[in-house]
Amino acid sequence: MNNDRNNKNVRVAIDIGGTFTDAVATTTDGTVFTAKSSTTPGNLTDGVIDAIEGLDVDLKQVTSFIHGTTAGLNALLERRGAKVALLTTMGFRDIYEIGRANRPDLYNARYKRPIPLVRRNDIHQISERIAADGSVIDPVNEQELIACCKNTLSNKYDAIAVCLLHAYRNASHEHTVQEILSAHLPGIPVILSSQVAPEWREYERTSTTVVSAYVAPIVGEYLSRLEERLREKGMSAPVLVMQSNGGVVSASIAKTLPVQTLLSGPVGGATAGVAINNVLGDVSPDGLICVDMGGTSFDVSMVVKGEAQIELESSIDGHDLLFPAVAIHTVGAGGGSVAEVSAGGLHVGPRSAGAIPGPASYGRGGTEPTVTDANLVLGRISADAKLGGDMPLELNTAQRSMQNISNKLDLETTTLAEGIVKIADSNMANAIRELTVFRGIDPRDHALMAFGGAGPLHAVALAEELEISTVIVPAYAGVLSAWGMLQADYRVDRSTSCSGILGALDSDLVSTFAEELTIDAKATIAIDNSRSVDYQLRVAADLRYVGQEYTLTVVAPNFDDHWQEELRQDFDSAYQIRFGHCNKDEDVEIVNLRITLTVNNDPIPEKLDELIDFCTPISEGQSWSGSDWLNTPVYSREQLAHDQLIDGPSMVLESEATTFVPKGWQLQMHKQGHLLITKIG
Amino acid sequence: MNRPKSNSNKQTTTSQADPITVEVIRNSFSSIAAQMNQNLARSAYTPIIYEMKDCSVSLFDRNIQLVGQSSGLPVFLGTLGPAVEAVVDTFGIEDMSPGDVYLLNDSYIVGSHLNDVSVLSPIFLDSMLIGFGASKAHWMDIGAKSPSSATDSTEIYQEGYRLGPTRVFKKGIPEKNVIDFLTRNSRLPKAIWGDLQAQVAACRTGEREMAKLYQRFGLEIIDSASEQIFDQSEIAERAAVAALPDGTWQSAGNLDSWGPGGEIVPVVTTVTITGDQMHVSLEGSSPQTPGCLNCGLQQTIAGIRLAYKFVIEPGLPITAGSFRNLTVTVPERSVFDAREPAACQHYYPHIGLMIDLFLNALSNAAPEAVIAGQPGDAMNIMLTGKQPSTGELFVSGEATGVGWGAFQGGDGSNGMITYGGGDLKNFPIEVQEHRFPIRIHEYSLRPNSGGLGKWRGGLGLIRRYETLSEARLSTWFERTQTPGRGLFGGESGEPAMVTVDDGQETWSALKCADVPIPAGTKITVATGGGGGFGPTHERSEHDIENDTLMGYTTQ
Repeated sequence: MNNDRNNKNVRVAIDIGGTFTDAVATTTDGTVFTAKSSTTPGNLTDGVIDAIEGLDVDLKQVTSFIHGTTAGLNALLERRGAKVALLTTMGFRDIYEIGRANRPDLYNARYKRPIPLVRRNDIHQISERIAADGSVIDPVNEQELIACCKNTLSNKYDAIAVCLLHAYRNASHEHTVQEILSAHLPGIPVILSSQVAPEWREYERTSTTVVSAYVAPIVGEYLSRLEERLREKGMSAPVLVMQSNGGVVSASIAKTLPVQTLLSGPVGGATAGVAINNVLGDVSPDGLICVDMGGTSFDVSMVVKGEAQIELESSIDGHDLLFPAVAIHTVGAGGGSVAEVSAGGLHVGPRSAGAIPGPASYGRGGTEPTVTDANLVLGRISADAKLGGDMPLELNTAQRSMQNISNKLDLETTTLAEGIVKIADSNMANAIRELTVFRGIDPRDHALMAFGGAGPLHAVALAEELEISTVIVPAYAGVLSAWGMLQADYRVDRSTSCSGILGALDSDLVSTFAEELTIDAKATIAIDNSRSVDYQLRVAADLRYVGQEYTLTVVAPNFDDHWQEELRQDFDSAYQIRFGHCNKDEDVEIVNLRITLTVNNDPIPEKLDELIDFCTPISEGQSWSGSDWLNTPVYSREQLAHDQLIDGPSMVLESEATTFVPKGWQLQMHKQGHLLITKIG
Repeated sequence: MNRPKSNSNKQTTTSQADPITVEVIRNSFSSIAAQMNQNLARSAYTPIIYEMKDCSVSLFDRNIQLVGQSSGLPVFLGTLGPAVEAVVDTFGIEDMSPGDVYLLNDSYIVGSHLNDVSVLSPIFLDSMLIGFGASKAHWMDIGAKSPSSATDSTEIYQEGYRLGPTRVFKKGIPEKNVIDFLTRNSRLPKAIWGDLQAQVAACRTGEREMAKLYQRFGLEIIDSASEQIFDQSEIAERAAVAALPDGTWQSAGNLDSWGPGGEIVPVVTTVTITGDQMHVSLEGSSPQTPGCLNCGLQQTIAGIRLAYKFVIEPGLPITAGSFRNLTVTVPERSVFDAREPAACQHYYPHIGLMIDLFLNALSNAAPEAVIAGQPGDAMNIMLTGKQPSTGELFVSGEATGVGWGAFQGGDGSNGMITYGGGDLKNFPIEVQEHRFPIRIHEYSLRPNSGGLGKWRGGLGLIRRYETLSEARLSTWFERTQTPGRGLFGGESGEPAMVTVDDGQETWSALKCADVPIPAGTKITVATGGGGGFGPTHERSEHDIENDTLMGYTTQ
């Protein structure tokens, strides 16, 4: 076994993707090892073990093991979750099925909501009622519930979700229900809404609780099996799991709140963004816009002030969820997006050629031109890029695929290809504009970090559209998520409802609330005993003007004499930034109190490689500049020298992606291997 | 590598937008409208806008041609053009400056009730007018004779202030006298000011982003692109209509009444297809009513466009080129083209019925594209009173979903907001109970309310309320005369029911206005179900079993 890898203090991160399971390890001297294995859908742990074996590290030496898993998300998307019963307050059986009674597809008279995870005959009502102020109107009818356990619930379900009205304010009834269920249905997991999402709005809370119960047994079993296999192989470090909030917790904690692991895999990109922002903070002082462009979709996330942007509400495949998650916005644009003409207009996407047949140039029978084909025609990817597998791309087929549209619109093939790329770029830029404008963020103050198979190809054009002057193409692009996870912080979020008018709040009461949350979070952390020291605590409040519904989360200062005034001012300015106006005369109310405990992870130490002075192109091609074909040197990323400046047009090849640097931009490789591309002048 | 040599001189100097530029500009217009709407919905003051999305945004070029729109309520589709035209007619473009904002709400100009206030601003690039951004949103209280709005008004003067084109910001400075008038005459002045600011913020987003777009492409290229965009909408829609058989079809129905104690309101919809042209006539429909069930012509046109859109190219964005092959005949002084002094508070019920009749009429031409009847109305219940703790006025108003009509290949949706309301969301029970002295005892699907058929109509909803303090009740439930009708042998859905039990007596209250009720009154509302599609005996065993298992139907 390699000596370096036997170094004490090996850190490992594993990320399961759709096709590959990626592994990254690092040692104290900053050496980074990577490996890939095929994802094994039937039994994901096999792929994980394969990937670890590819790393060739001694698991006994591992001090930190971080894992991003899609076990929960796949179960949800493929509807392979647990058989769940839902218990509701009497009279409210249909809250889950009715949802918000809205119809987001405005002009579709035949719109149907997604089929619920729990059908109506698996929803059972309990006689009990709590009022909006938390007082008890009717106690839990325990006899009735016991009878329900025996007659209806036993031997039928893998998990039971409980969501009672106003449980966010008074959870005692849910606790009573849990005690009775545990006594009469031993061994069946019971998921309470007051634990999963202690916030008001019954439908969203129910949906979150149901999803949590739906994935709980699968996530639990998966993590237990993985822990066991790693223990067998001699690893003593705890398995840490990526959560949707971009932080990690131990597997034992993740099992208690499995819904928090739903985006465990997808948040990897944003987590890498945070790590890059730490290293390259000086080139992107306000943060990063992270874009992941693959074959069919384009995901955008944002890193602002060193942190991944978090959303308190989200929706996965039509399932509404109330928990803090890294905001990832998906747009239907990718290398496989198809160009077509309808009613005389040229459109690109959202329809995709997918993997089969894929772009025309894959030579698998596709005849419609895609964004990838257009890039090939323009010389922005090399035919040797092998995007579709082991076969080189077919330029002739790509050119042929353009003919039909080219004739219809009377455009030269090159002009059409350029147009297809331009339309795709403009659609992506619009999506980023809508997201940033919506959040009061000016994209120009940010750097653009691009990854995924097609990201580095479009990055500079997107930056031009958005007037961004710095583009970062990170190192380890093929295993980027795992690389980011390796450096993710430990993080526990807790929240509670808390109401009152800012300025008239009982400071003692609020600080008691915050303390209780902190104690709870610390108790959680204490399970991972090595983590119980050295944490950072942040208290924040969800605030709004009286009468409004949506809140802004503002970090609360210490509870000193002036904290309410300061918080008020911070809220007004946050509101001003987000919405362009604020209302200083209006009362501000608090809705939720949140605390976040973090334990910082260490960045990967800087490694001083043997320096290469200068590198030469491996070949030269031609690329279309919009008016001319220009000679375009092609470099291999592995051979790039640090700090060497390379002017565009140029291309950098690596196994998973191609970076295209157009004229007017300049590329430089950062010490850690990240590519920095900046606008000249 | 052999590359085709491109002729870089091919680009001509005339300002024709190429197909690529056209697509980039098309998507940018849509994106700007979406950005405006997001800004409006997120920063609005009252829940009816940010939660129920009772709002809509449109973007126009300098010729007041629609270039982009983003709608909360689909029934507002395209009603903002006449608002912009009215403002331009009144003030004249030469008298407009950057930073100006205008508003109006006259039902006879913009079509819907006075609560819907249109706010718009001219957009300039430097000093050149390039377009207009406009939004329309529901204001909670504009000083009508009863809180929020009146359901028993008989003249528009009782429904609050009625504003023609009015300048509310001049060169970015608020017109204090106007804002004072708007807030002083409202029971909820803070809400007025808050929502107005949100609409102005949406205008500002539109101004900023449109200026960027015009700066990038220039006026001539954008004009050329717009023309092509409009033509493309027209071509697609004409082709879709041409694919339907020629003919004339008529469908008629009745609304229960034009208000509490009122008489029935007949509605007749006649659809004619000739080649690629569609004509919709509402002749034979009721004259304008003595109650508040009326709307201005522009709302009717918007409603007909929505009905058309459900069938013709529902996936394409709406532009100034849309609906060019759609003509309408609306009788003057009818319920669909009300004139002074007709009250217009309930501008939707006859529109909802008309959409239903339109789809029913078109079932002959396009059986695959339509759905069976939907008892479509907003199904409003409003409770007002004083907060027991503070004595402040409260207004709890909400719209309730209905069962949707079944269609070829699927059962109708259960409990979903009517045609005219798209992303309009229901009122969370926990929020309602927290805000108001109201307790909800039940919120459920209404079994057996969907019309049977090969495909079953969707189920209506039941919601049971109890008042915890003295309050006043207004309701507006419709369509017992013409429920969700079955199609092709399917049965009709159950009609709506509302019962009030004040402890002394129980009464039916499909429509009532501002009725005092004591604490402890129990109100049960049940909305109608959708019509079935196809003969009941053709329903599959599996579907019948599932209905029983789920309790959607009971014996």
